[in-house]
This record gives sequence, C-alpha cells and structure tokens, in this order.
Amino acid sequence: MSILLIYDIVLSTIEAFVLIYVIWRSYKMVMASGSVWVLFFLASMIGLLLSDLYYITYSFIDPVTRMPFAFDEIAEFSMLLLLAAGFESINGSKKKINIPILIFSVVYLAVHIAAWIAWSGEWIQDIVFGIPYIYLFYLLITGIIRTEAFSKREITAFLILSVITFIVAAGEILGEGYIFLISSRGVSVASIIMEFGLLYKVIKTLKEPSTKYRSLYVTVLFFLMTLLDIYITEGVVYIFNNLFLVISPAVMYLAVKKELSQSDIY
Amino acid sequence: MIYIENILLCLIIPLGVSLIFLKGKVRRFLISFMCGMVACLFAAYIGGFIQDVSGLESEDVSVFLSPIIEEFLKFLPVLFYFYLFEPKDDDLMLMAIGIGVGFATFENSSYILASGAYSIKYILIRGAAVGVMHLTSMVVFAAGINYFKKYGGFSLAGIMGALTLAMSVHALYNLLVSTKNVVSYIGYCLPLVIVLWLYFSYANSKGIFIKKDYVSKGDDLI
Repeated sequence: MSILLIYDIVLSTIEAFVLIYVIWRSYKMVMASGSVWVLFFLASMIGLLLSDLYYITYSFIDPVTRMPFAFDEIAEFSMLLLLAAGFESINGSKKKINIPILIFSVVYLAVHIAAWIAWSGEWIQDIVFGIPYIYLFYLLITGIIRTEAFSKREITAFLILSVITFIVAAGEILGEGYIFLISSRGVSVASIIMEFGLLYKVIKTLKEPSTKYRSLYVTVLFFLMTLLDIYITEGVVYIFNNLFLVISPAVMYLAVKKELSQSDIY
Repeated sequence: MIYIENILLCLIIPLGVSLIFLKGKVRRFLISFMCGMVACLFAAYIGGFIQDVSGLESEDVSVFLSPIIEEFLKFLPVLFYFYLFEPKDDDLMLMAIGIGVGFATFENSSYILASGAYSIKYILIRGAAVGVMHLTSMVVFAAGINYFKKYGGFSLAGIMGALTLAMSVHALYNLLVSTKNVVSYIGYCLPLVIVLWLYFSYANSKGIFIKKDYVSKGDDLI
C-alpha cells in the first residue's frame, strides 16, 4: 500500500465516523419532524457513507488493481442526485430554467470532467458521472442568486475564481512541461482561495439569525466545491481539501438543523 | 449447468393457475411475486450476455455488475405499475414486496439447484442474507416513492438517486461477501441490520410503510 492510499483510507475512515453521527442525528430529526428535505439529506449522507465504506473495503481487499466498476462513484452519484432532489422539493413551482446559469454550470463542470477523463481515460463513465454534478451545481447557483445568499461582491469574486480555475485547469489538461507546472500550481492556489472563502461564508451564514434556506445552499456549495477540487489538486492543497471534505457533512448537518429549527424547510 | 427457464416454468405454472381462485390484493401480490421471478430470469440472461461480451470473469460479473442489473430489473416493474396504475400507497408497497420476494425466491431456488442444499450454513446465508437484501431494497424504494409523492419532492433525480442507492448497498454486500475471511460475515449481517433498522423505523413512523391493519382485513380473500 502506498502512503497516499493509507492517507486516503485514514481520512475516509474518519469521514465515515462523522457520517455515522450525522446520519444518526438526521434520522432522529426525520422521525421527529417528517421533513422531506431532511429525509433527502439523510438518504444522501447514507450514499456518501456507502461510497466511503466501499472504497475502504476495496482498498483492503485489493489495493493494487483498479476497480473494474467504480461503485464508490455510483454511491456518490446517488448522494448528489438525492441532494438535488431535496433542492427540487424546496424550489417547488419555481422550475423555470435559467439558461445563462445552466450554460455556466455546463462549461465550468466540463473542464473538471475533462480533467477526470485525462486522468482515468474512462470517457463514458466520467461523462455520465458528471451529469449530477452539473445539475446540483446549477440548482445551487440558481438558489444562491434567488435567495441572495451571496452579495454582488461575493458573486463577482466567485465568478473570477471560477474563470481562473477554468483557465488554469484547461492549461493543466492541455499543456506540457513549464505550462503544466504553472497551471498545476495555479489550480492549487485558486482552489485553496475558493475553499477558504467559502468556509468563511459558511461560518458567517451559520451565525446569521434567520437565513431562509441560504445556509443550505452555501454549505452544500462548499461541500460540492470541495469534492470537485479534490480531483484536480495535489500535495498540501489536496490534504486541505480532504480535511474540508471530512468536516463538510457536519457543516451541512448544522445548516439543516438551523433551517429546521426556523421551520424554513418542511 | 442448470436450465433456468425450466425451473421458472415449473414454479410459475401452479402459481399462475392459482390466480383463477384468487382476487383483489392477494391476486396482485401473487402477480407481483411472479414478476419478480421473471425479473430474476432476465437478470441472469443479461448477466450471462455481458459476461460473454465483455470477457469478464463470472465472479467479477456477479460482484461488480449484478447489483446494477438486478436492482434495475426489480425497479422497472414497480415504476411501470406506479406510472400506469397510480396505485395507493399500500398497493405499491405490496407490489414492491412481491417483486422483491419473488426475485429472491427464484434466485435461491436456482442457486440451490446448482450448488446443492447439503450445507445448512450455506442455506441460512442464502435465505437470511441475499434473500432479505432483495426484499429490503424494494421496501425502501416503495416507501421512498410513497413518501415523496405524499409530501412533495417526487422527481427523476429522486428516483434515480434511490435506485443508485439500492445498487450501492447491493454492491457493498457483494464486495464484502466475496472475501474469504471474517469480513464476509459483516456482509452477511448487513441485510439483517437494515431490516431491523427498517422495522424500528416502521414501528415509530406514521404511514411511511404499509399500514398495520392492511393484511388483516381479509376482505379480498376467496
């Protein structure tokens, strides 16, 4: 077993324990309130737990061979779809498609999907698994704009960082030698700035007295961006992103609890 | 090699004839039970076909591909029934349970014929682990559809999410039991743990699962 794999297993195990706690608390919330959103959240966290358990089990059984069929990714797929279904239930009748945001989501995620394909060479699998990422990202951005979770300055900063990530990630995929090296460092810097920025925003939103779904959108966006950034970063930034991924289920749970206590979700 | 179609015919003919003497919910349950058996036959065909085409080992197909094929084929009749007949919550749950149990029964029958029934340990594992797992995934799926239909949130994303969640549970089970050590026992216990969790959730929930007095009415029996 390589050092990186051991590190991944340790972090996945810690995340699994965090998830078990979050699932248990969410389960109690569902039984007490019957909330649809919390039920979706509970199911999606079970999906994430299954993904971790599958990864850990497979890594112990066969640490050398790559999985013939990545069921940890199918479990992630399930988790993203269930979160998306939860946000659909919040949106209710507001289902008009926002074309500019949809295009932005597709283009932004396309570079990530291209990076996955460049790394794994699995065209069909990576494109299929990219679809729920695009859909959830689209739902989150429309929700953030509708609920005014981000100020105009924050939206501008998010857009600039997204464009920078897009350019440097494209350079990382297409470039060689010096260009690859600079792009790779660029991806790491853009990623870590974005992650710390979002973490600051998460803390700020969770401290607000009344948020009207805003905390849900911001915390899930933090989680999604962490998940995406893990696949395109390396070294210290990769370690930071993994740590963010470990805490993000707990952060999302706090947001769910906060919204439920304010009777914003049903 | 076993002739799986012949086994199906042998089991399904008396069940089919019994439909003449039944009506209402019992008849629907029996039909769904037979649908589950047919779904299992198709799953075996598709698995065999993929094994031939892809060149994968039979163990790889059963560990990595069968969860996708089997769960998908079990969910199709439930979705078909849901969209075409718009059933009541209890009817949908009954249909889902029938399909899950029918699938498990036919799969167990075929495995026992292929491998023999001499080992009580093996028989118990097949019954309490694999058989129960097919049932639980259908119960969760039907409960999810009923719940989302009742309280909002029913969508393609929700259906696909539930389907892939069931596939993931099945895949984890298959992976755990494919090992030859103590880890496999964790796998064998997994479906029973889920059943216990579902049972306690059922006991504490208000109408997510099938109503308690549903099967005791007896008004639909012959």
